Amino acid sequence: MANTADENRFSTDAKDGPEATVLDSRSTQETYLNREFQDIHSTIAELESHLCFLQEKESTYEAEKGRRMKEFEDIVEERDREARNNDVLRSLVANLKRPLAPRFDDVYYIYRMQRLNESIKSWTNAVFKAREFEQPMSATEEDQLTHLLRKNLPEHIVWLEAVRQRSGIRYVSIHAKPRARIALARHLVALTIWKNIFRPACFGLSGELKKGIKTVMESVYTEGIASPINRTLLRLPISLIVRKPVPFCNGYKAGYRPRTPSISRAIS
Amino acid sequence: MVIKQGIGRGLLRYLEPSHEELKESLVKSLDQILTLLLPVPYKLSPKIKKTIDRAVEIKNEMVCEQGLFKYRMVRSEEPFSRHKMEFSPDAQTGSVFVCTFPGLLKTDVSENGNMVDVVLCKANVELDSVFLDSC
Repeated sequence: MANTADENRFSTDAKDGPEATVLDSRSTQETYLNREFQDIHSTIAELESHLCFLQEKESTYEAEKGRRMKEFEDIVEERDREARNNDVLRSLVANLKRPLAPRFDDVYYIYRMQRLNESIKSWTNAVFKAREFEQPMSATEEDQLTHLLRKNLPEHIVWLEAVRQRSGIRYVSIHAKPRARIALARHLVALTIWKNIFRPACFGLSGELKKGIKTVMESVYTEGIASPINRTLLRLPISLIVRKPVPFCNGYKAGYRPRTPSISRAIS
Repeated sequence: MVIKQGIGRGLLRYLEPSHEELKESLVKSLDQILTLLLPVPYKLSPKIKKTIDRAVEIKNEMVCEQGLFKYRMVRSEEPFSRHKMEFSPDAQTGSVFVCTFPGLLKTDVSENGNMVDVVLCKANVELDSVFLDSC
């Protein structure tokens, strides 16, 4: 509409002469351009304010996204932790539910021990059998071996001292003969297994606990619940340990009431 | 027996998490020792690891049993007893020189109510002649 009005004015002004037409048209154009310029400025200002608004919104969304991501990661972590706990609990429940009863026959353990022995025998024979060796054991190597054995297997040093007194044998001479070398290797493997795995009440026990727990288990096994160690450690109710009947006065001990009348009848 | 089994299971549950680390250190120390006895270079650790794993497996099973098992290494100079020991099927003479595998015993109740150790597996030994005749 504005364009049509300007065009009309331009056409009427044109009737007054060419100069007036030019001036008129220039001023009109300037006005028009100024208006256009203002319009563009206001549009730019609007767009800028809108951009600011959008930028603000974006930063808000970014912050929100970060917060949500953090929450998500926390939830995932918690889920994993709970899943782990669940596994632990499930295995505990499975263990608790396992009945306390003999698991395998003695024959099974005999077989397992024989298999273990055969396996050790087989690989030591294969590895230590060689009749020719690269070089005989040197005095340094012998010292090194004695040092390692003194540190890790002092029980072997006791054996060594005993046999040295008897026969004057040395590692060098044992190392030189395949049969003796194999026997010594088997002895060292067996001694390590016996000392660290078989002898303790359970593999992994250390120091004083080793002896203590073993004594407890043996005592409990041989003397049962009446064992003094068992009484102390397991804190069993005295009624299970004392064999003599509880003395009663007029049927009941002072302050003691049997759970059911049938118990008092049975005792009397 | 049930109490013994309960204690065993409890101990195993408590100690099992540390087993891998302990096994590794055992393999390492035995590897160091046996390497010095090797006639020719050889990578021993896989063999030792397998042996240690098997032994721990057997022990863990026995810990969870009701029966009380014992393992006996025979001392040097002990006279040979055919009821408790055995050696490879060749002519050997003398007393025990070295024990090459422990014997397995189980504590049992005898007829008169006493506790006795019954031999389930004989200990493996090598007698004096293996070492002294050849050296």
